[in-house]
Amino acid sequence: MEIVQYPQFDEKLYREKLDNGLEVNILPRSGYHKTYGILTTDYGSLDNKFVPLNKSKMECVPDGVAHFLEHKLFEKKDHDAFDLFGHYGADANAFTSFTNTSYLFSTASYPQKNLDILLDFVQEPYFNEKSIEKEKGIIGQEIKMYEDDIDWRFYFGMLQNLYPEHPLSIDIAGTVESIAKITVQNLYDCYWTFYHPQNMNLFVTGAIEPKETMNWIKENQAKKQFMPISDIKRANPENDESGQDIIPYRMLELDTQRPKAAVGIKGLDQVPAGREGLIYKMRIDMLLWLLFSDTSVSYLRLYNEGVIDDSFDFMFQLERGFHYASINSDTDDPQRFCHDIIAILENADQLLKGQYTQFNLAKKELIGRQIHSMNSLESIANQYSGRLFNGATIFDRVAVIQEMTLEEVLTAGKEFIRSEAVSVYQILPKEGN
Amino acid sequence: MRTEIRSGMSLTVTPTEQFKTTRIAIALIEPLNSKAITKRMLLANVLEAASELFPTQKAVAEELSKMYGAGFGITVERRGNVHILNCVFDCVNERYLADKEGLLKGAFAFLKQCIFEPLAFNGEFDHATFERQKKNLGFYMQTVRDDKQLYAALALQKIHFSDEAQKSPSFGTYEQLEKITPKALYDYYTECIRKDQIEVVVSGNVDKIECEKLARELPFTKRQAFSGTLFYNQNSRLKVNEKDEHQPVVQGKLDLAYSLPVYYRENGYYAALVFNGIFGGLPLSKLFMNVREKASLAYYANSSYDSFRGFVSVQTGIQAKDKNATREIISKQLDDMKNGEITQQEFRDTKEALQNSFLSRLDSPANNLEQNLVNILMKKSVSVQEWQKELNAVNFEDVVEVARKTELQSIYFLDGEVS
Repeated sequence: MEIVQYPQFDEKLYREKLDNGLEVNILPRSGYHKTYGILTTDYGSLDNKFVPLNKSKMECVPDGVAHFLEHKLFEKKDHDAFDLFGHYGADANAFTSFTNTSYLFSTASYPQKNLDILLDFVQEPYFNEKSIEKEKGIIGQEIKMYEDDIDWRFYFGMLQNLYPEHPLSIDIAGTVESIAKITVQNLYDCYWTFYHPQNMNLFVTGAIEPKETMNWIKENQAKKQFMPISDIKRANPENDESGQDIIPYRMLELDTQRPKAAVGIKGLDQVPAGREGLIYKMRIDMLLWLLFSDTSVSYLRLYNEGVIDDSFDFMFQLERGFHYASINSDTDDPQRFCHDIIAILENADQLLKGQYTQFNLAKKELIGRQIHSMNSLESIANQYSGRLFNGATIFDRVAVIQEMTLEEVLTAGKEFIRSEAVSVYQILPKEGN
Repeated sequence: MRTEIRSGMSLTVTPTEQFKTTRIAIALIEPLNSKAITKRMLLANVLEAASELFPTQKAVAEELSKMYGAGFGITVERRGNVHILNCVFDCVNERYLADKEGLLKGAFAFLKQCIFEPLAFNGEFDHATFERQKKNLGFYMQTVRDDKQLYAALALQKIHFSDEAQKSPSFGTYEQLEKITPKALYDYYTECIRKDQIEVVVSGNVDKIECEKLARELPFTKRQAFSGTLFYNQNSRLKVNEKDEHQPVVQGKLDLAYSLPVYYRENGYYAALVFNGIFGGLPLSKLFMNVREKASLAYYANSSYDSFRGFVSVQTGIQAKDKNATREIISKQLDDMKNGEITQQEFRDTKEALQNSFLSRLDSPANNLEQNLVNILMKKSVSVQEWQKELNAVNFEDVVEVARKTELQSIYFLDGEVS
């Protein structure tokens, strides 16, 4: 067991790659009552074309399979894993993103028992026809619920602009039509291809003793046999790096109260691999903070002029195979909003060059934010990057911020902000509303 | 430990090394009053946005950045018959920082600045700040219409309660907001500063004596603490109150309100927690299992219990055509409980889950603070051991008895069928 020390935060991380390939991270926290465990596979809604295990050709699966599989994995022949967690005082949940699927529990009572339940239900699949048909009804409702969610439509509207031909433009849950096509075979194909321990990691944190916990996990894994696998072959979705496929502007009229506008930037530059990728991500996070946070000159001006309000937000998302930024707000003047935001982005370099005072202040802010989130077991475990940033943890992020220079941020910004990568999306209230 | 600083103003410090941050709250507490709810929400936003020393949001944000990304916010909360305007400050403990700055002192100075030196001239709030915050609160009230789950919950509350102050959303109403002027709000502000009960609550790796010294420097004068009853109680209706509404939505919402005259930590309270857990409050509840899992009628179906207002509400998201079927399943679950149809497994699992969520809340600084405030209002705290003992003592019959006390009072339905 390797021990990674973080003396600045009085923390120690225990990690080991087990014989079967499963990567385990354990972070004990003194004073805490509960234990949080999360088991993640490097597989999400984007992975809809791949060579299934023991086959030789690329196959496509219906949109929404990863999320569907996540739902169905809880159900076993004679029981439901949710019930098992329930018997041992644990909350359980799962979520599917574009590139990952995670299963988690949190308990203040029986950590070992609940760890076993987590590992067992995820590692022992059982899918059948009847329960799949029933699930189509439930997920259908979930998809419909999101259709009423204007923020969700807004979010996907921008993705559809930036990635029109890419699975990113499709709801993680799929569509009512696509999930209707899902078969038992699809689920098993995806499962055996992507749920091998070699493609997964387990992060446990909270009221636990690391050696004892590692032994529990090893005992559990020793009872199971896994087929040897070779490298997973995914048809990484076509990503037009010229930016020519980007839809520069779209507008949707909905039964909503106020106009919403967003400016998006698709990442057309190459993200470096491993820890360098984390450094790149945090530089862009910093860049956006400097340009758009409430400590920026632009924010104050736009706020005071009534162009933006408290709903104003900006984000940068970077996962396996894609990265993009979005800046959005409810606004009475969507044209002005987009015009001004684009102008700020295009002038980023002039606006920020030599602004060392502001930069040092931002560093303090972002370091403080990281330390704040260390209070939460969920944040610590959920922010674990796994393979994406070569095992970086929340504690590594502080060092990245500390070492960052303004020049590095501006250089990363020049690579990322390109005029051909920009798009605008707006949702406007229907006439007569 | 709670220490009286002055009449009507106390300090509670909970030293702990569990967290990497220190949390300080200054709570202004007054009896709930329907005429003041909107003013208090707007006041929270105006005080949060600017002060004399930090006259713009940028200046406020920069000051917080200097204190290593400190969090600051003013929230409002209705709890039973009181209203709490809560100024909360959250900062990193210095021991995790390279430079050891006096953040606790800075935190108190910042809060003092925001509360006692707002941006105001000649007895009126700064007009520009005021108008912007007023406009933005108005926008927020409008956008609630876009969040159908919240919209339905608020609509149910409006038809269920008879008291104006309980009917209102906790963020107020548009009708009241329109009438507030910079002077009226400032007058109201001076009244709050003079009259509201003040509770200062600090938790983190802090020194009690230093906290007390800093709290004493806050210039709150003597006042009276809230002395009324915390719990809201209304007579039950003989006829169920129903309201249907139509909007072009894909998914319909069916929400129900029940009266349950069992109050926080009073007789039957722990049994009521178990009751609500089995009924719809927990992931494995009867509502979840039957409405969602077995009948596939809804994506969500759950209940919540407000032990300060003696009521239980049920929320569901369904297809409009399934309204009656859903209603039947919901009432069958409650009838089953009234008839003692609760399995040993449900009973045990629910207790385990309640215990888990109680202990888990101790791992969150925000929940600890909230619990501290509730203990202060109740003038009594309950230790972890006492709480567990009380929960364990709940038996099967107690839960059935609570179930029998619930009475259906109001039904709100948001029609999703496009006509």
